[in-house]
Amino acid sequence: MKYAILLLPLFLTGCFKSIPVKMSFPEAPTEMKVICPELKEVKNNAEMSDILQVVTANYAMYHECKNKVNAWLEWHKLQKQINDSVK
Amino acid sequence: MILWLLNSWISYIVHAALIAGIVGTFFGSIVAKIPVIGNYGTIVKTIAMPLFVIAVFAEGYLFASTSWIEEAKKFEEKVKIAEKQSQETNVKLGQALADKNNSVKQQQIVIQEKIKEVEVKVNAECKIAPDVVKILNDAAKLK
Repeated sequence: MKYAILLLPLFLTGCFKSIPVKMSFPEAPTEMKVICPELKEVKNNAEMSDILQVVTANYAMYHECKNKVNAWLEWHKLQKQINDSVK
Repeated sequence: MILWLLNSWISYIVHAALIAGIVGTFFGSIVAKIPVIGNYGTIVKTIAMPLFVIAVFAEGYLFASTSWIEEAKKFEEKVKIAEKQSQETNVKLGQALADKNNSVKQQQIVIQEKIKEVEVKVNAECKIAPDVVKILNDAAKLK
């Protein structure tokens, strides 16, 4: 009787028949995984046209980086929606 | 047909075995204490106890085999659909980002061309003090 009671929990393992289902973490697009570059600097004794070139190039880098950040925010929002739909 | 009959009956058999196991163990234990028929009680208890344990296992197994496996399969399907949606989203987002950055680059080319056009005029009119370069570079650097 005592042994049977001790064995009972072991036999209850019949209830635990789990099937492992894993959802892999979504991979982000490669375009988004590029690090934003450092801002360009103006050379000493630079003329006005050089300064203009550097400043406009920095503006362009900012716009590219802004696009990337916005893309990450959009990616997170959409992936969260997809992930929540599975639960 | 035979399999269907067996499947539909097997749960009844397991339930019956569980009830028989519980009842047999309970009454077997009581009867075993009565002097004259005590041996019968012991026999019933000896049979009922393993029957009860096996029936508990079978109940659990049946529960897992039907509803749980179906749930797991449904979940697996959902995961497959979600992974496909995730990949499609990535392609769209990657393409949208590449298009936006491409338009930034195109705009930059146009602006650089405009600077070259007015280069001589601008350089002749504007004198840059050395402090201007330092201030600009300090603003571009992270401290």
